Amino acid sequence: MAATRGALVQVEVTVAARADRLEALHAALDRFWSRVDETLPEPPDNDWRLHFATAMAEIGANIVRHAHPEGTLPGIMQLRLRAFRNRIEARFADGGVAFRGMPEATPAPPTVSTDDDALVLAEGGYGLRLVLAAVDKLDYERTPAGRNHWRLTKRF
Amino acid sequence: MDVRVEIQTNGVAVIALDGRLDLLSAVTVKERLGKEVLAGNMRLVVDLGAVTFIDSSGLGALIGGLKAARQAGGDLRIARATNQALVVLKLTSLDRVLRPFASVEEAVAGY
Repeated sequence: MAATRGALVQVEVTVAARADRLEALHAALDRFWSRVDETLPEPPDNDWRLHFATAMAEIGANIVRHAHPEGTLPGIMQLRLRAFRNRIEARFADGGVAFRGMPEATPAPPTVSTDDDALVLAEGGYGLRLVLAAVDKLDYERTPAGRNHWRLTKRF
Repeated sequence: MDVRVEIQTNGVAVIALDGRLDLLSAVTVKERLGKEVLAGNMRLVVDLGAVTFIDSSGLGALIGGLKAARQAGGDLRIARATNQALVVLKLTSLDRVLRPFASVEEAVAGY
């Protein structure tokens, strides 16, 4: 148990950082929820899980798009999902390009209020805002060894 | 992702998607929506009933289709959005421009 440091459930997966391998992240999350259902006395409901899954998939896609863009060396990403008594965490690690666009520094997409606004709507830029709205905390760190570490936290 | 297009008798193009609308499939879907608009089918209904997951790239494809349709004088409506799609639309406030219809029939009616 020492390896999981208080985690009640832990599932890990390592996949190629490619768009056609994102399905492996969803499969890992499905395995994780099965274990959570067996282990936690009060597992989170479906809506809660959809929010978490949305954020997790968004970070995975972000790693493929921004840390391993076309023309760079193929890489891998590691995902570790952990359930604690009061929260669920997803940690990603990859050795790709450093991320330089935390949402604080990214202009917000235009506010959508009327149908006329649709023509000026951005087609991108929703990803990290979606993550921040879906979970409680998002941390990013570029380590001195040149790795990207992402951590998503959602409390029960 | 499977994409099926059916032109209704009133000229509305119903585009049924099946699978995950994400980084992998978004470009294909956006191109397909644009192709329909170019072919003169500017009133679109995207059937999301069999879409198991949408991410921000998928959302971008729908916004791209919406803009192309509106610029041509048409529109894009979405039908049968799953709970996960509704979560994504609500968290981004895009449900205000991509108003979800409960069924394809409701989306097509009165278009």
